[in-house]
Amino acid sequence: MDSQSLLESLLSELDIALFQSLSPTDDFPMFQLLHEPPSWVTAFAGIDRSNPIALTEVFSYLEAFLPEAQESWADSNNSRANSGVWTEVDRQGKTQQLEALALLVADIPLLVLLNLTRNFDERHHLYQRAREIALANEKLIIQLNHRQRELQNNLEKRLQDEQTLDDIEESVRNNASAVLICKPDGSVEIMNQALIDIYRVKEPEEQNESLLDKWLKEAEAIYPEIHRVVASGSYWEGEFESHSESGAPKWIRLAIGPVLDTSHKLTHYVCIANDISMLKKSSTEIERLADYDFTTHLPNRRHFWKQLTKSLDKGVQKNSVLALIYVDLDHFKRVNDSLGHHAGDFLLSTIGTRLARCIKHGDFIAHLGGDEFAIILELPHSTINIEKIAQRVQSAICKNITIDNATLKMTASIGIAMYPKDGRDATSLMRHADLAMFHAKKMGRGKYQAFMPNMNYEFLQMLQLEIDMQKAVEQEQFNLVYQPQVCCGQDHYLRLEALIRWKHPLKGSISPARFIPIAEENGMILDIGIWVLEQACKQAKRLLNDGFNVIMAVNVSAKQVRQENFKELVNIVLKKTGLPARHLELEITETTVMEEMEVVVELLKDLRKLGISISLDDFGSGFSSLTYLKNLPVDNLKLDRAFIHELPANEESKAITTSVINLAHELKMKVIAEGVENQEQVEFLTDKGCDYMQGFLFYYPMEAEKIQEIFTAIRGVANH
Amino acid sequence: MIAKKVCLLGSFAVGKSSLIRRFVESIFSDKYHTTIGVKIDKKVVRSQDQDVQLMIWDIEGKDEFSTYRQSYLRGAAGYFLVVDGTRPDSVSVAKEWHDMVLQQGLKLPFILLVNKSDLFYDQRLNEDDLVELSSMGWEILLTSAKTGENVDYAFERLTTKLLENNE
Ligand SMILES: Nc1nc2c(ncn2[C@@H]2O[C@H](COP(=O)(O)OP(=O)(O)O)[C@@H](O)[C@H]2O)c(=O)[nH]1
Ligand SMILES: [Mg+2]
Repeated sequence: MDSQSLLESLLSELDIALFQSLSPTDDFPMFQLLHEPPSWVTAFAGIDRSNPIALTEVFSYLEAFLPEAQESWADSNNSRANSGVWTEVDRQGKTQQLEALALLVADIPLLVLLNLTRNFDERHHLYQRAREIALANEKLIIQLNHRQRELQNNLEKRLQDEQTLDDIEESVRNNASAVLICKPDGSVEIMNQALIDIYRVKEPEEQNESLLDKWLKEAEAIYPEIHRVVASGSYWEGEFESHSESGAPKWIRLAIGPVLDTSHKLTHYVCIANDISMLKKSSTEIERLADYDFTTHLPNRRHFWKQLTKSLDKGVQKNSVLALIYVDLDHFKRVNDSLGHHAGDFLLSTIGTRLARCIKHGDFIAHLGGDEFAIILELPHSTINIEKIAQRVQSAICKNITIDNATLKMTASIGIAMYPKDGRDATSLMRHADLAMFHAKKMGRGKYQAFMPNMNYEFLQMLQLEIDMQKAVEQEQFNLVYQPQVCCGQDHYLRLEALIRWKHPLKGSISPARFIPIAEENGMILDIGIWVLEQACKQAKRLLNDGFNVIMAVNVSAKQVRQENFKELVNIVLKKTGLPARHLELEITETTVMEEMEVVVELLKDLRKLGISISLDDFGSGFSSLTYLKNLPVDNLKLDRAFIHELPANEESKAITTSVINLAHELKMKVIAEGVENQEQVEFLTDKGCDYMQGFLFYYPMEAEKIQEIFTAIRGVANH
Repeated sequence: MIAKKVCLLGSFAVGKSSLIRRFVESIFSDKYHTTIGVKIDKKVVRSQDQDVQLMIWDIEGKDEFSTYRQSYLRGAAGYFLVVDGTRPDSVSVAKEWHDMVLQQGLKLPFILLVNKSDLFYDQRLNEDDLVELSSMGWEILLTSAKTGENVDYAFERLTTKLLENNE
């Protein structure tokens, strides 16, 4: 056999047909078959060795491939183009899988036609299988998700209804999901059989580490913020690799739901886990499937981490700048609780879509789970105005959303960290963005904050403070001081504002500006608030008994006002201390009122019915209009100190102060000026008819004894 | 007779091949047979008083196994984005495809087919998503390769759109 026929046999054996392109630059090039054609080739119309063939007409698939083929024919650098597989039906009706390669050999433009049919079944089988598994998994995950949430809700309700542990245990005993209910310190209250099966855990008393702690540690690798989320009493769900008692790795899907009692105190964690190792293992296909969130259809956390790592690699190579924007919706749980999971999902999905639409092509957005989103932006240079972007994100979120006839306005707290400035690896960048977000949240809702290096330290401080605060209540480290308000005209009341102080045994005095926001956040404000109320009322009663006609003003926080039984609590305190209601005044900030106008207005009316008077605190600091004032059941307006500070130099402040005083008087309200610091201000305010003034110019906040002294002195003067 | 290339794009198993079979051969099978690469079918439709030969490209669903090729859309006159009404994830895949088309610099008429409309009680797409897409000017049709609902109409409608686009 000569070498030519050997080669031809080989080509035929390999199911290859070799063509030379006769007019490589033509739009309809002709091809010459270079050897005796294998039978599969002749099974297609019009292919034989004697005539040039218009291959792109025989196989219309090749027409679209032509530009790539021509490129490699024009390129002497050994490049080759691959058409990819396509399916063709031959003259006998048989399907054939073909693929074409274009390349230049010894300056001859060649087209190689490969018939893949013979080995195709195997490949097809593999793809088929993988995709079937992926489909099944997709359906399972949707269902699992649904089931976990339902169970979580059910258990939370049972705990809040104070069903007995036995009843609850009974209800989850045979559940297919693993259930663990534990106290905030991790000690186990209930665990069911599925948990023992999945985890092969020992009975609770034999364990040295709580399962919850173990999970938190394991999940931390992919979810660095999990401690913060769980510790702050938020719902968390995610998937991570976990190790059972025997050390065998398992993928679990875990949901941790905090259970709060009526006073918003954390009483339990409900944890629901499912072994999803099977889903994770089946094939690489599932990798991709597991990459999207089912509520928002956005890339999920796993995907996000892969992408962040990729972007950082690219950033290193290209020396570019990245911004990581961490978005956490404010008060999402409230929506979920009041309107249900369905509405919550809808909300997340809507916001997800909006966020996805406000980023540029090439940027990346993910739904990290719960109410958290993250955005990765590649920036052309480091001086770009990142605040603009944060504002754009914020305004995309805060557009109205209508759900079941209710119109909601959401806000988010946004944290920003930049590569390489704020972190060079994915974990630290993420941690810092999260920390910045956390700070944004502390500043109040709807804010954004870029990461700053001292935040790490501040965060630790804050955590410590939170722990210390628990003790402070028990060990009576708090005390009250009182600041008198001065009357500009005639008044037979002596007015005081009660202010809280914290004497920390090690750190000395800690400003309320520092610890009150933390207490607001973790709910301790409820305990502290009621303590303050009681102490202040007691003191007022004492002064009253000594013959001083006092009005005691006590600050009330937004969280307190939102308590369903707030009015009853106040009433109880009044009864307990024996203080007549007309000697108590409650101060509520303007923003608190604005946040939940309807509820608060009703509450204030009720409180006034008891005889208590109401002050609107920090008035003018929010962006409320004066027009809504007339609908508020309020006795006094406390002008925000920012206005007073600018008096009388600033014309605008002057104008505002004047019109507020006039309007208030029209509405039969009194005006209290806070933070009065100099004589010019006093003159201006008196001239304009302001009713009361409060400030260091007159009195510092003082201990109760000192107040007694001063009041006695005033009485002395008055009596002479 | 003029010939026009149209493509069906979307996630795997949303019913692209089934829609084409229903349209070209009027048959449907419940069995899933995954497509690898591309298969081209032809069918003549009559639109605006002329015959048009549609070259219908059935393109492999996008996933880890598949590679996207620019040639898939080269010379196309229009396309369908196909999603499975029971699988929310398929919507984002359709969006990815759409982005890919735009990235290639193509601005072609297209229609979003929400397939498997016969599985009425399993529909899981987010209404808001569809509203959003439709507000962005996407034309949306509910189809079923199984019952044939809207299948012929979808092809006719796309043909009309691409002929209009031609003028
Ligand atoms: N019930 C129902 N099933 C469908 C419909 N269209 C496709 N299917 C099924 O969905 C699976 C995937 O269809 P296929 O056409 O192969 O999807 P492709 O991967 O997008 O080409 C098959 O099992 C089909 O029988 C439909 O309209 N209704
Ligand atoms: Mg197919």
